[in-house]
Amino acid sequence: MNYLSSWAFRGLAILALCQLLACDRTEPEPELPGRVLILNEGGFQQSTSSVTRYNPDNESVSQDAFRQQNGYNPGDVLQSASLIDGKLYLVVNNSQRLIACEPDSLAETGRLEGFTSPRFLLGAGNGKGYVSDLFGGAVSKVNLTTLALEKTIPLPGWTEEMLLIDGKVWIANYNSAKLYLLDPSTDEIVDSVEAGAGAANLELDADGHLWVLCQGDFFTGAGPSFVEIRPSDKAELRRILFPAGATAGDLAVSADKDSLYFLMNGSLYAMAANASSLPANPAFNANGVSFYSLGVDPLTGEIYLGDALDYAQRGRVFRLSAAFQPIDTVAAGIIPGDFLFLPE
Amino acid sequence: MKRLLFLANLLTFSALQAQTDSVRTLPAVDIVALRLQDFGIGHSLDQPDSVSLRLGGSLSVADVLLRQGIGQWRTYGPGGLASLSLDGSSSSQVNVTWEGIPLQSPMNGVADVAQLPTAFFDQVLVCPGANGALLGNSSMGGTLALSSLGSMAMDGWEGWLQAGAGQFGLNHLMAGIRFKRQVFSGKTVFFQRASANRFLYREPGESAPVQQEGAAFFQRAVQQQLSWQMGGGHRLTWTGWAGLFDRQLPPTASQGDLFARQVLQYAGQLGKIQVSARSGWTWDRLDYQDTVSSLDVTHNTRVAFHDLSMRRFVSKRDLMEISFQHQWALANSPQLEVGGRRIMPGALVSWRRSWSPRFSSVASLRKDWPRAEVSPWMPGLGLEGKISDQVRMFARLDRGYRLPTLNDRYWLPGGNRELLPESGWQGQLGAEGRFREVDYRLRLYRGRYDNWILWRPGASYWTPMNVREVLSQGAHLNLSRTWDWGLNGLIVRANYQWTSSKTTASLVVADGAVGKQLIYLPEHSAFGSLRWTRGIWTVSYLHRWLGSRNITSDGAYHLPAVHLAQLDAQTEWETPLGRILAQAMIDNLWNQSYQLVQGQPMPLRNISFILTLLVP
Repeated sequence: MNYLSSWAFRGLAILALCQLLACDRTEPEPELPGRVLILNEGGFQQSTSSVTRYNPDNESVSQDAFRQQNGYNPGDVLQSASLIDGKLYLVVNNSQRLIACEPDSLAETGRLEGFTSPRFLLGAGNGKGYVSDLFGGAVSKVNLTTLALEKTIPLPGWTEEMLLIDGKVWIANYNSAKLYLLDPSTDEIVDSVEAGAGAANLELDADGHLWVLCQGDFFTGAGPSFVEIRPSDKAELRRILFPAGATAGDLAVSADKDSLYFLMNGSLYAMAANASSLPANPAFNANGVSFYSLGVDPLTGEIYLGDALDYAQRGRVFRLSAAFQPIDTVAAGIIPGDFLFLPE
Repeated sequence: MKRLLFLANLLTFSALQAQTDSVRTLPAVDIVALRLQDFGIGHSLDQPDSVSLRLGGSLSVADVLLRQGIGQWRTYGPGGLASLSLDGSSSSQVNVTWEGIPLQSPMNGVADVAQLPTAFFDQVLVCPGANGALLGNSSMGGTLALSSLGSMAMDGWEGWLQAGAGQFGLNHLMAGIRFKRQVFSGKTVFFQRASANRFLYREPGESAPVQQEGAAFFQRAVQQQLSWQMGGGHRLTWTGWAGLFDRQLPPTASQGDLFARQVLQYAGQLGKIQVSARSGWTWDRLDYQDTVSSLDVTHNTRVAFHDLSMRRFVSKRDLMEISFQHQWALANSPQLEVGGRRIMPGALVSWRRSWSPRFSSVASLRKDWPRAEVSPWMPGLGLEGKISDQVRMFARLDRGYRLPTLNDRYWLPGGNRELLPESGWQGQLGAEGRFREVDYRLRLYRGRYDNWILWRPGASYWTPMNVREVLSQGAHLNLSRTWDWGLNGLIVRANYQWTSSKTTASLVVADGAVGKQLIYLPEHSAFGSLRWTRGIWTVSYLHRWLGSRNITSDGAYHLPAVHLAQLDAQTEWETPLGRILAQAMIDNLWNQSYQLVQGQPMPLRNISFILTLLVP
């Protein structure tokens, strides 16, 4: 039998060739994981926190990325995340823990428990980190290499965002209306600066000036305010009061750090860093949506706004260009409360 | 005696028997029950009997109703907060009363039914469906009416002493005495229960059990009742009730409730007018502490409630009632604006007509005048009739409303003085009767509610808003069959509930809740029980199935469906001291890992024992 001339053989050969070609054509390119992490708090005491991974290049979304990788949720109230020395750390507030994971896969590599109510983690170099705390009355010093809680540094009340500026850790204190300066070499508080009631959010502008968003205190009647401070001599350069009755939350800077973005009464406002007063109108309005969170991609300058809807369902995120034009609306998890932008 | 015991057993877990009885056969004793009995035509009532209440051991009213498949419950675990939902409502839309006095907190509008031990009640009525005309504020979903006004027919006394113990450190002690001598009667009940509550549970997806920590509770209460039958058809009754409930709230909080309640009731005949009057007063202090947040806050609430009701037969066929109410509620809390209070007078007129021995109807109209609030007129119409010897049909149309709570109005920060009350209409239609030895009841309902209040965060704090409209509709089917073979018998019961309660419109932009079932309400649930008696032994098997329940308003996350079972065994014997009843209960027989509220684990299989002495 001449196999080469048989129809069966020819058919098989053609099939095999097609399959090879098909394989070549459908070989998926390795998909880059989205570098925008949307941190969803989840319902309080319900442990429904999650991480939504978003790729701004192709607008692909991966929901529940942490659970997909690890098989469980991060915990109760995913508050914030930090990328330090190539490692991703999730701060899970009501689970009183810090989770270390790989930024690409989100695979957990370790965890550190024993905090009271952790809020934010700041890397201070050499594997050292500081964790602020809502109820702990202290900032915790942690060893990020060994994932050990090494020390607590007492501070009055609620400590919030932190920044490392010229070798000092600046710590916003919500209750005392002050900023505290911590020396990482000695782990001691070395100074404090008056800010305003509800001092919470910290950003540096292009001039290296520190902007503090003070969210006010409802019970004392103190309204929100901006305080601009020159870190070198701790001089207060400017103080801008919000209108009476206004509420303020979240602060970010543009990619060039010339503009400040913030939420006032649930709307997005943009203010030049050299402005002397608050802008009169929002920079972006979404038909009455009250935004819950704000982030700016330092690579592109694009703005991300979290909408928690009724706080009992999956929220959504508005992605805007640096010119405040809508680009995309991204489905998120329950209460999208913070963002982390990974480097490319 | 054995026959009596069997009859008691028949009653004990045969709520359906009571359900299928005409409303008129209920031994109504308090003013709310009277009102429901005489003017609640078209409503259907569920009630566990007085035996299961008095011998309910350490169980709360929530436990008993939950085990008998009555209502939908949101429970935070043993000893934890339990709240009732009826006909697809929220918990704050169910009116919970004791002797007609509202037990809901004026601050948050919710009554914690887990704090109500069965030992204190002779009657528990559950009336699903809107009932604004008869019962006023917060009766959009239904009513849970509790009464302690049991009485003895003859002079003498009776007492009961009960002790029980169970796993995880549970123990309880209950003692009661009731007497009647000529025109005076009284009742004293003491109840105490405690538990370390270190029960075992499993985390979702985990196989190894975990021990619950920081969930202990302790409850102690006493209730005293004195009654004077004055002659001439006049009766005066005073009931006082005081107690405390301390509990730990995992992981780091604790809560202490201290309360005192009293009510003075008068019932009498003045000429052709039957007069009922009551004056009640409650005081509650709630201390909440959290070691993590260092929160230590105390809320004090006081409520005074007065009700005067006059009814008269204006003809052989027509009964009319006119009643006036006045409620005053005050809350002192550092988290409320000073002066946060509610003053609410109201009036009700009802007319019942019996068109024939088989058909009757009722029309009611209520108006409340809450100070600084808006309240709608609330009409109610009911109709019922026997279309055959075996079948009774009933229908009802009601308006219900719920005023914003003091928290909604005066919370610091965020209280909203512009809120409108939730309000809506509900219609229901049903039939009940007997078909080939099977008792049945089928009830269908449909209601639409506007201005649903929802707390939403602003940039800095939460504030309540009227944002949603909700359509609730559903069907309840109850079946029961009894076999009686002298000293032996078998009762089989089953019920099925279809509850569709969905958001139909919302002011929240892009609200994913529209079209979705409300959270924690199973769309489908079922209950079945077998109760087998042989001589002095009785064994019961109760089985509940709860369909999946949304835990997010957009339905994206839910608690899975769960089968729950309980096995009870009971026997009794006579002693020189009196009759002794011994019970053993296995809860969660199939060792299911489940939660009724997300993040609040429930115990795996556990057992408890109860010993009761009845004298004489």
